[in-house]
Amino acid sequence: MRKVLKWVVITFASVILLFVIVIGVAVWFVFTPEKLTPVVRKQAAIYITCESQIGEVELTFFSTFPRFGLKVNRFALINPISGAPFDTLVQAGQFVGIVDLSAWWKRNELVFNELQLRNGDLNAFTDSLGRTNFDIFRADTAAVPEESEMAFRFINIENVELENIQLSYIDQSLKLQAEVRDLTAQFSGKMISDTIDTQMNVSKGKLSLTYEGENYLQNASVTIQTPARVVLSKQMVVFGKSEVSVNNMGLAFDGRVQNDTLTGQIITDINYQSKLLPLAEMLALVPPSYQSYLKGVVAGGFVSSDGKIKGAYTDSLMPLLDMRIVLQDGTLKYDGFPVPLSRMNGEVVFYSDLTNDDISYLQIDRFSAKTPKSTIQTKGKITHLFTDILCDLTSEGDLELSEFAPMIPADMKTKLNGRVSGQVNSRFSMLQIEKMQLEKMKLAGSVSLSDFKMVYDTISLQTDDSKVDFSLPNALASAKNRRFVSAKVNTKSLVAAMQNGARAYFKNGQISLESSDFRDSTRIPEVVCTFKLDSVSAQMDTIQVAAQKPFGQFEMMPRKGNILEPEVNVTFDSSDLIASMGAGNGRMDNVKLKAYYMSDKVQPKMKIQYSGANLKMAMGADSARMNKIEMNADLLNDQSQKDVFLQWQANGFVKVDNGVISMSALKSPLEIPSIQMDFTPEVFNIKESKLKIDQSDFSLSGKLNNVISYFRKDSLLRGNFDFVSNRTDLIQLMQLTNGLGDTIQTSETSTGPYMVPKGMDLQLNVDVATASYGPDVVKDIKGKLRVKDGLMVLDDFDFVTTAAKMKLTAMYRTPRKNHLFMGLDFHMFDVEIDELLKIIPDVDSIMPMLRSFSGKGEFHMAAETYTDSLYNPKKSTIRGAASIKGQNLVLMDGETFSEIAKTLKFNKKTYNKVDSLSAEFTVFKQEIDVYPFLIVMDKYKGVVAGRHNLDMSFDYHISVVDSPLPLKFGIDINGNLDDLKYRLAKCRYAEFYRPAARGEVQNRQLDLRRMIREALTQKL
Amino acid sequence: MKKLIVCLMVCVSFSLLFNSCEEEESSFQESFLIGKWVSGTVYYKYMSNYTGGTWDTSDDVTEAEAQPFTWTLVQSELTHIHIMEVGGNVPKVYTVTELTATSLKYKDNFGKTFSFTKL
Repeated sequence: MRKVLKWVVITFASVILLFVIVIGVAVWFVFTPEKLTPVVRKQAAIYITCESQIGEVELTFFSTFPRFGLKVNRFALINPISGAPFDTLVQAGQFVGIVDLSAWWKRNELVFNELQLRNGDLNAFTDSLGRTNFDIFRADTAAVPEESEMAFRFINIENVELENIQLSYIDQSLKLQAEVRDLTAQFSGKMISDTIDTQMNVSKGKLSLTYEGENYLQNASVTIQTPARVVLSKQMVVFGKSEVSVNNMGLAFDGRVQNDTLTGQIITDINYQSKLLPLAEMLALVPPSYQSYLKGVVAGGFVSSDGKIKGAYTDSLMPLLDMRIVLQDGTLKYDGFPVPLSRMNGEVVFYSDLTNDDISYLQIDRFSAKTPKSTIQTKGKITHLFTDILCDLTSEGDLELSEFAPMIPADMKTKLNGRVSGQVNSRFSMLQIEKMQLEKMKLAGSVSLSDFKMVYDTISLQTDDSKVDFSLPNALASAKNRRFVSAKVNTKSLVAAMQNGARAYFKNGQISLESSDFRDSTRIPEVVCTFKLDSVSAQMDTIQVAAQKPFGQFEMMPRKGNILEPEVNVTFDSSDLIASMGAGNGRMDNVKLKAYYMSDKVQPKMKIQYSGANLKMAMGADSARMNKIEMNADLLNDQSQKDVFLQWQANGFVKVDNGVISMSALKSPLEIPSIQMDFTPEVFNIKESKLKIDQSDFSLSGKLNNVISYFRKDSLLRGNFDFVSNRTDLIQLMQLTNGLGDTIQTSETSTGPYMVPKGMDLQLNVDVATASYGPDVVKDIKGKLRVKDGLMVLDDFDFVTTAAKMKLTAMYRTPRKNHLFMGLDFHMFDVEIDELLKIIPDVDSIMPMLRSFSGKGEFHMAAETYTDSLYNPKKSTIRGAASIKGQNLVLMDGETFSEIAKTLKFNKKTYNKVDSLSAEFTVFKQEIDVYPFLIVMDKYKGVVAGRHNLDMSFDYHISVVDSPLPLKFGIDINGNLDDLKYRLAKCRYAEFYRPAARGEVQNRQLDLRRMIREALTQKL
Repeated sequence: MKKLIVCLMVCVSFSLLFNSCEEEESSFQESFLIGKWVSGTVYYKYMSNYTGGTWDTSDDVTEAEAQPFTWTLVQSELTHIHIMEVGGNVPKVYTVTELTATSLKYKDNFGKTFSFTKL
């Protein structure tokens, strides 16, 4: 066995040795380069149309073991073409072709089924007319001359190996320029019928690619591994599981590409999947002309993608792209974005044929990113990519607004601070954004504001904790016209302020808003806003308002009949309302307000219902409080009036219960038990008006007419009231009405004279049980007090004083402050003369002798004067007339009487009785004229006449017409009270009371007396 | 008795002594009075319808605020009836001593004289 084995081994070794010897002989001695080189050159010249340079050709076996090959050293094909940068098509230091021995042996054909090219250049060129420099093979090999020693074919190449090849391809018709440096690749293939199965492995190469002038790749390291089947008849390439990488960014793909010659379409169906690709390096591949879009962008992270490219490609069609792109741990810094983004993670699907809007979309399955202080998340779908991009997104965020403040344009004058977090669902298109077509957008969400502060120009809004829910459009609208937007605000604290100091503070509030499109200028927006707060306070300058538990509703809508004008309904309730302004402040409980306003260019309307309780107001030392106030008013606006007061004509009523007003000008508070009044523009009907001040009480009822006409200056303000009082302090009453109606209201009115109201005709039907004017008390006052256009008249006032029953007509007119008219017409019946002097002390100046009388008399007096603003009489204007009648008067015992009695030697037992006294007096300026009157006393009868002046200087004459003496005589009394001079004189009035004997002058004087008295008593 | 007669004679003589003859009254032309007269700050205005007004500018009274009166001039007796707004009259009787187109002088029964010039 061992021998057999030994012989077998020896035999096999011998065969091998023989084979090697035969091969060696053939290679080194039979097919020497000297023999092969001429053959190859000759054959190349036959099959190749261009110039070829073929160096030494040798047959190889061991280097191409186990196949024979032809190795050509210094191989070149030179095919110059116009426009080509290179003349050389191929240049290689070594070119090896593996020879198909079977074809060579059986058919004497030189067939290469494998090519190896090393250390060479390939320069392919196509000019703009489609002419190439690589079309070098003769078109018809059948025409090869028969003298050819062997057929020379290159077809059926199963393997091509390139090593360290510099490949250049320029196609001017496609404006394409590709260059691969240091290319090492292997192409293998097998052709069966019209199908070629190929395998391409590019293991090394640096690719530069320029297309239409754009440099897409520059020395990009490229590897390719792809099996492919090429069906020549269908012009289709089917890729197997392939991989391509550019700068180590790998992409796996498979699928097919077919050139459909019938339709002119390139049919694609390719699946691809990339590895995680560094985003920065991907962005570096962006062509230079597009780099401007990335200026300032620094991006990092990794991107991967997989998907499918399927469909036809033509000049007008693109295949359908179904791409899933995943971003991991991305970062982004952009000059135009104020904060860097980090931890960007997202997953999107891009589905598009790049032409058809209907099927194209970008689906954002997830996207999240962080800034240093904020987070953003969004998902949704973006469609209509090639027309009006439509976004349907659900976004969440937790934003620190200060980070985004630099994004706000400076001209918006807006600053933001604080945090906003929440979710927003949005659906909008770019066109809608551009045109701000809010009515077509859908925005809804809920955001929380914390430590939020917004400043817009001079307005600021600040909240510590608020939540805002909003919806645009308003799907749950309470009315069909409020579908544009809704918002609900829940706030724990909200502060709105203006730079001028105005400030409002809302605490624990809920505010709901619904509105129609408020931008619609063709109609008034329909808005409803309800609010409910724990408290609200506002401040502007010195004005402060605060309300506890306020709630209410504001509603505005277009007016029926004219949608350009609004109707407004307001309801407001508050448990406690506090307001202050400067030194004044007020407070009210249970405030209820309902208001309705209808705008109308011709006649706007307003309705107000208002009620409140426990009103307390104070202004400095003045204060007021009222237990209850109710007011209803319907107001019509008269646009023709300029004055705001005149524009609004009110109908309604006001009711006040249990009020108290305390004013520094009043010594005692003014109590208002009740006021009820109906009012129309022209008529105020005071149904009930009860007032109390100190010990005074008033009840006023009646009508005030021509109110609006009065303010229009068309008519006097007319009023007729019943003024009933148990007790009245006249001074306080005058203080209450001082200066009403003056056209110029100044602070002087309170310190100057009492000015009677002007422009009005008011009548008070007075019925006062007891009235006081300082220390004087008057009872049973009945009469009419009339105030008419600056004139106040006490007309036929009957009253009773301690002195007498009286009748008084008085006038007080105030044409101007320094020219005040006072006049009175005074009648007293059964008046005690000493009381008369107490009541009217000025009578003592007129008739100083009255102080010497006692008893009752009848007194009539009319007097008038103008005074200055301090009530000092203007003496030149004093006018007066008086008449007094007395019976059985008693001459008071005194110095004057004693002196007269002594002079006239009265009986010491004489009772100082004056039988009768009837006298008339006039006052003119400072002159008091006493017309002659008879006085009977004791055994004397005398006629007294004369004059004295207000300076109390006298010039009197007493005619003694009856005395114990047998003659009549007179006594002249001159001087003043301190220095009276008496002297005997002619008896001027000897016959004064003897009509038959009276002279003309005496009759004249009696006529004057009669005229004076009749004028005084004609009204009685 | 003789003494009584003597005494009566003396009285009668005294009585006669005290009785003086009345002066013959002068007569003045009423038309001279019509117009405006001034004496210091005191103004009087006489209208032809026998009404008039008076005012004193020293008391801050203007012509428009003049107080009314009626007047009569009978021979030398000038009577002013000052009319009060509240009702009542104040008569003032004067004796004119001079009345020309430019000068008016009168006096009252108490010897007080007044002198005006016409405006």
